[in-house]
Amino acid sequence: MHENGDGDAGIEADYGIAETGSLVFIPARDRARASWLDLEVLDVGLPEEGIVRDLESLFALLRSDMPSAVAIVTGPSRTADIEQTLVVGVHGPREVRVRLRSTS
Amino acid sequence: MSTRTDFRQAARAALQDDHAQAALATGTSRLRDGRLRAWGEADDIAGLRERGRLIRTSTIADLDRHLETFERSLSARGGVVHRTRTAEEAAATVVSICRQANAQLVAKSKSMATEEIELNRALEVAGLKVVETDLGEYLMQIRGEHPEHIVAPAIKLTRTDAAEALGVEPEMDLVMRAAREQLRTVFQTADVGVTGANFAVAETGSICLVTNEGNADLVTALPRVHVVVLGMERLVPTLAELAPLLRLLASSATGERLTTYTTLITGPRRQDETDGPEELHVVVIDNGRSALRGTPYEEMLSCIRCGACLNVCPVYRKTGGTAYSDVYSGPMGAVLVPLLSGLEREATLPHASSLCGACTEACPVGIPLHELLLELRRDLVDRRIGSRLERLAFTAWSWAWSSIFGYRVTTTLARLARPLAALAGPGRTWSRGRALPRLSRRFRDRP
Repeated sequence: MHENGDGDAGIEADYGIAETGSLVFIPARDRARASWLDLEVLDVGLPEEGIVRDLESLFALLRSDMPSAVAIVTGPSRTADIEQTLVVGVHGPREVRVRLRSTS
Repeated sequence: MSTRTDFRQAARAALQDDHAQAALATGTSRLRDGRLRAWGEADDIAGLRERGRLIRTSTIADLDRHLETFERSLSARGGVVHRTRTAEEAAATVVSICRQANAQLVAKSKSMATEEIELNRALEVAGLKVVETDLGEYLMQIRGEHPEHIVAPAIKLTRTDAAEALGVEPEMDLVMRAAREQLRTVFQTADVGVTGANFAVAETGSICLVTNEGNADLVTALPRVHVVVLGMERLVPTLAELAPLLRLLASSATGERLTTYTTLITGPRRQDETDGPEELHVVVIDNGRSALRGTPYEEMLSCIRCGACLNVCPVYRKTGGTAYSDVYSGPMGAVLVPLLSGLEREATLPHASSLCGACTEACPVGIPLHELLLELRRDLVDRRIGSRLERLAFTAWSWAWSSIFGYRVTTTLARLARPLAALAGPGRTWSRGRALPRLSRRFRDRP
């Protein structure tokens, strides 16, 4: 995780969840669905004010008007299907980098 | 669930496979240890489990109302709900949706509910091509096999098996790349995406899907029609109640805080959106579930399909999934399969347990699995299903020991015949690996 980096990120996250270290993408707003799975190294920009405490806080924000799709992404695409060995990058990124942007 | 299971026979075959034995031991231990670690790290796992149990049982108790709310919320978002009673009806509904969409290729994300209704076969009979997109399931499909574990379908495969299935050298990296490339084409060209549902949220009409690979995100994003096969019991009343269940599912299944890709789908693409499916259909399956309500087995409907009970079961850990049936295995399967497809048909499954209770201890939502297995055995006796010889033996035993004379004669005979017991019958099987215990003298005969 890279903190307070500047420059342009590959993709913007709508929210972050502190409890689980997750990024939340709401594709309906401004980006293609599943675009967070397109790159091998996913560079994500996350505004600090978008960080919520836990899953419950996120759901409380979205509940009254649920978007058609909400993706909560926690880390790279992975599988342990073969020999129970963890391998990353099967359908999505091998690596996820987050640039935390402070608002001030 | 087309095949009637003779558990003992199938288990014997599974035990001969050394390669599978080793893979099962490693796989289940790793999953079990992951759960224990995650549970240990959680703030208040006992509290979370109790909360999960209460959410599940109270939802099931009021399931009709939650299903109605779900249907209303989803319809308001442009989704279509199809309620079906039997597995055949459910599969036929999916086939007709695919036909109406003029579909040729169907991409699937891992779902036990679709296995239960034998959807792949129904779609193939209708002339459609179906491709599983979870890596493990994709490999099993190429090999012509069924999922072996509800969470880790290819638990028995080695990297050599995987490489062979994909036609590459046995390097994990090459296997990954080959699978990724082959499946990307499938996602991009599929007409219909079929998924199950880990949960369905009544208040918002949302479908919740979790995968670690991200394949469900692709299956629900790219094809123009999305069909969800939803077990009717997977409802959660509110989003607030979904959160603890997601924590329980992730920690119990794979030892994670949250599954990598946790996705909520609420209706098809909306007017101002440029991508996503044009249609969303939710096929709700009953297939014997509603008949369990109000019976001693109602708690089985609380199951969140995490697989924790499989990983600790001394029987499953040796036999693997194929010994049970084609769909659900381990303790949850041994309870659920006879309940859904009939005890007469699956009379051997309630015996696929040592009743040690490890499953009950591992269940995140407190289903008393080993007690339900005992209850099923009681039903077998009450309904006079199963071995006639066993019934005869117990009747004779109960008759003999009801009188002092019968008791004396049989115990004396047993003591005298002990040296012969190792020669035939159950005594022989027993003494193959262990010494037969000595029968002590009766108190009244002691000097």
